[in-house]
Amino acid sequence: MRNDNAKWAPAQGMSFDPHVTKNATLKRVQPERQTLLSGPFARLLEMINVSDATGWPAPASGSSYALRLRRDRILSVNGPPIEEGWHEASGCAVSDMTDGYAVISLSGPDALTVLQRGTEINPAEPSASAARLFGSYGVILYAYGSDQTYRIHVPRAHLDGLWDLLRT
Amino acid sequence: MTARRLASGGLIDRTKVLRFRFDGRDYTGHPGDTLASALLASGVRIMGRSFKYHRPRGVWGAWFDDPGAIFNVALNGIELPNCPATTTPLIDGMEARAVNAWPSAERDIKGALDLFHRVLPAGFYYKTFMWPDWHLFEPSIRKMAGLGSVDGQTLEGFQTDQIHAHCDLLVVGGGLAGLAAARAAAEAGQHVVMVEDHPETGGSAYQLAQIEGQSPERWVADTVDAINVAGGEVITNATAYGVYDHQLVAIAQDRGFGFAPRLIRMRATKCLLASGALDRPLTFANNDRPGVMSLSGAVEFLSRYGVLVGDQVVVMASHCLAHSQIESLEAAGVRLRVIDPGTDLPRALSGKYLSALEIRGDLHPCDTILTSAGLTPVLHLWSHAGGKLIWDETFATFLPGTGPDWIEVIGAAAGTFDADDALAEARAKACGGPAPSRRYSYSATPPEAHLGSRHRQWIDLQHDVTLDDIELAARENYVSVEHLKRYTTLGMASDQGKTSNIAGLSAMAALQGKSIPEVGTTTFRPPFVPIPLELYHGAHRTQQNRPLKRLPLEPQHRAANAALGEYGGWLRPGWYGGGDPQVEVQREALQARETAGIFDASPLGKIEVMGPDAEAFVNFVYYNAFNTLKPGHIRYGFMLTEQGVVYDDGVITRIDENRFIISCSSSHVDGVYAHLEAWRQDGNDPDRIFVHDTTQNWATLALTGPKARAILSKVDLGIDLSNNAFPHMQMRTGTFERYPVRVARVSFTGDTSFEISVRADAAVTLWDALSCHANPIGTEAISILRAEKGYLIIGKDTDGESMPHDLGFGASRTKKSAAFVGDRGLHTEKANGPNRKRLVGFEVSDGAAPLPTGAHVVTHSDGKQITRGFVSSSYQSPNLNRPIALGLVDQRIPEGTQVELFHLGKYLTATLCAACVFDPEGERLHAE
Repeated sequence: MRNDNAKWAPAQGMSFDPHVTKNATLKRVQPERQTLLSGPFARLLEMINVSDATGWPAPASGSSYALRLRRDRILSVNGPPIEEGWHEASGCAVSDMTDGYAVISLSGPDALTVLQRGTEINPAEPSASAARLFGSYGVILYAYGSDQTYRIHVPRAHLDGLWDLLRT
Repeated sequence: MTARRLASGGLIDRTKVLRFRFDGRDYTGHPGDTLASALLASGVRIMGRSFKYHRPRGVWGAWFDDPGAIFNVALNGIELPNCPATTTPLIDGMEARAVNAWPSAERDIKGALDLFHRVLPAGFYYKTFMWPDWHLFEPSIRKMAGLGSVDGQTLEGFQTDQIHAHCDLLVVGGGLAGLAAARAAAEAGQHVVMVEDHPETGGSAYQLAQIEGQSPERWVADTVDAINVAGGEVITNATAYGVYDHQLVAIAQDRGFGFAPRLIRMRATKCLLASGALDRPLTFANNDRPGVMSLSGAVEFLSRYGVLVGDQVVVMASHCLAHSQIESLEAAGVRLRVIDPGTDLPRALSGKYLSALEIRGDLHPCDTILTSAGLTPVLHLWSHAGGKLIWDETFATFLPGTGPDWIEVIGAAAGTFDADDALAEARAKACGGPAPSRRYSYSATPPEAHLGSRHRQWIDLQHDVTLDDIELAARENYVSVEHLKRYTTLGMASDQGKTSNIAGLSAMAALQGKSIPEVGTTTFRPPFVPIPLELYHGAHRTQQNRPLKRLPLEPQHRAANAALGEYGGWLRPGWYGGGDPQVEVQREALQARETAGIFDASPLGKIEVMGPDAEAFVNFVYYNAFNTLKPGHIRYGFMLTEQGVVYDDGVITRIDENRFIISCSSSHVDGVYAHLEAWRQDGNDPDRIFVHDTTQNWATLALTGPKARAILSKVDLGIDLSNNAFPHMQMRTGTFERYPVRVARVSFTGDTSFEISVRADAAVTLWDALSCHANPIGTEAISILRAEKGYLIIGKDTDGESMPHDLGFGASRTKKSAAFVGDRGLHTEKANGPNRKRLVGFEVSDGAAPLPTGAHVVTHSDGKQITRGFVSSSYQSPNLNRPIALGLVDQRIPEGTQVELFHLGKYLTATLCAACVFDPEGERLHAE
């Protein structure tokens, strides 16, 4: 039986203060709703009433958008509320993931360089999917709004680790 | 002292003096020097000792091709081992000492080993130290072998910076060809990155008098400026050391002494390899003496560092381009004699220092012998990328053959040794054109190996591999070059074949009467130069090395004095209270049986399986039948591998006709999700089944104990908790505050239990609502409670062969009609053998201590001790007030048998019993 309290710095829960350096700012973003949808891609877009889902490098914008994770899966951010479960008419599966992913915003002139320390990412190489491996973490990474702002959705339990990695 | 610094020339800054020490003596140098050039300029000839015989070693080459001068270097309290003297920039205050030598390279006491060289040929230790046991000698031999030693101190902050990068064109090597190619490509609009391992670009350009009408310095500076202006990037102090899959080139960028290099993972659309060429050493008698050097190396020391390597020099060169190098040395004031050895064997004569070269009975006094048996293109990276090497008889070396489309070789690395030809070729290839014809021809005529000589001739200067060793290997039939390398250690360590490869191959070819292409060549593998392991480490350290998952309630657990530890990839509370762990855990286990306990079960899986084929799918991936499970009901099940071995257990809830929630083991969530996704895509219509891992969207608190229902009823969930309305193994949904809540009546303790799941953001509110009525219990207490009931932890109470029928769940194997994963594995001969191990309990005599986990159940037969099983879990039960244990034991040993256990040299006894020793009737589980 080991007590490793001292080995692991206390988790910050959800109370992260923004981390600001000269050329990059790290802060938490808290979407009101995140919904995981699986099914035929066109039907998924219909369900949340969007025309496309963001991959890489085209940016997401606005408060409501969809992120494409794979050919038959999207994450709707602040989309319409949809009942969880199987939707027979559309052939889509829906799960709430509002608290499942923590969202980090990284912005500033050095933001892309910070990302390139954790993952192989190149604005010149597009990807239909926003899902990536960043360091040891499976994340959803995309450009948001201006060309120097990026958002990362990380499984909630790895938020502390990823925050620490980005901060250092 | 024969070498000296010239008053002018080179790239060094003579206006500043840097002071350093080597092997305890003071020396000086200048900015721009390496340790080797500064020592050479100070007249130091012996800079190291060889690996095996501890023969004195000087420098052979001027850059990464030198195998002899390797130092431990200390500066400002930091000591780094194995620094090549020829590539380590000199810094004021450095304290260097030669590795593998004591008290100094000059007076190494182990130099006496050379007297015994006749009994220490290649592979001597394979033959000599066989009796009584190699391991008896191994520690001493390992202590004597090796290069630099690590001082054992941790270098704080010695952490590499890793970055991913990309470009249209990567040019490896910033010499003439590399610079010209980079400029042409950049000016053509390509995104160009050029890497050069020296602090300055130019490579061997400084050996030339003029380049396209300009001085080398002017031409290099202009070209670099043009690259930058055109948007290209020039990275100096950076070595491309390996090529990996998918066009990944690994680059180590030096960041100064004491700092770990930066790793640049460069993904290049196209790569031009302009890595130059090295001198092939000439093999002759005593060719390892300090003062025997590479001709190109000597010219490089002159042109880059302003160092004349000797006063009286003999040159033996076998290629047509040597004359220009000879001329530049003569112009610098060297007294120089060129000798063509022809078919005769030259011999270096030396006392402490080189004194003469003897050939055909003539003595040629000299202090330095410069040799070049031809030029060898540096094609390591080409080979890493999968490029072939082809032997060219005229060039007498390997040249690049066929290879992948994305990488091409230019300049001296391609065999284009003439400067004008190299420039034309580089510019053409940089823009995608074909290489123009070479205007100048090149040929080399290296002498044949002199076999059978009584004089020692060195092939590998670092590892003391001589021609005799090659001959010995051939006699013992190690004729394959791969066997030759491993038998003799030829080309190992930092040399990696740079200087020894072709010399070794030509010797083996001569021995076998074959050509070099028929003998073959060894495989080049990364890294091309020595790099610290830290380069691969990067940010994967401390908490970033396999980072744990963190609970939403961790701050609350810490506030409750929880002792946190890793349990299945999560940082979870082991126990609470801050007191003695044994006492606290016993208290918690007792409390949970007497009243209730709250257990943070958030890591338990919540994997949703949805779709019209979900029922058939879950029924297929689980051992147990799930096609009969009604909505709102829960069933326990085993997930098996295809071999029928238990991979995970869990409870599966059916939400509605098309939706299931799989609550698998906390540590298996990622694996179970991958398992489900793999089977979903194999033999199923993937549009009719979808799998979502929602585990981290939820926080789960388990409330367990006889007062669990009473406590939970104090929280308004809108759910009737009575036994009749909400029986065991069912699930209800409700509302907690404004959040949806799921309550599952399942138990891992054998007491009435409720698992309450809310969205993770509501975890704190739920914790506050429950913790004012009951105290928390940790994972250690839960482990005791479940062991009292004989409940399994997969991976702890099972092993890599456990099947459901070994664990008391044999019904499905014989009754389930639908196919399921693992079915066939359960019907093999092995699965039904008589000697399978089954889950049992252990009972010890009154007053005995708990059995040690891992203790083996043993029997004895014919004087041998045979393992018949082992203890998998063992605890002191506070509720039974005695030790309890679970284990896997040969099923032929019946319950009630007293067995003997063996652990760490001691024998113990116990009696086999049922696994469940607490409330075997299950009355508490269904209690009102």
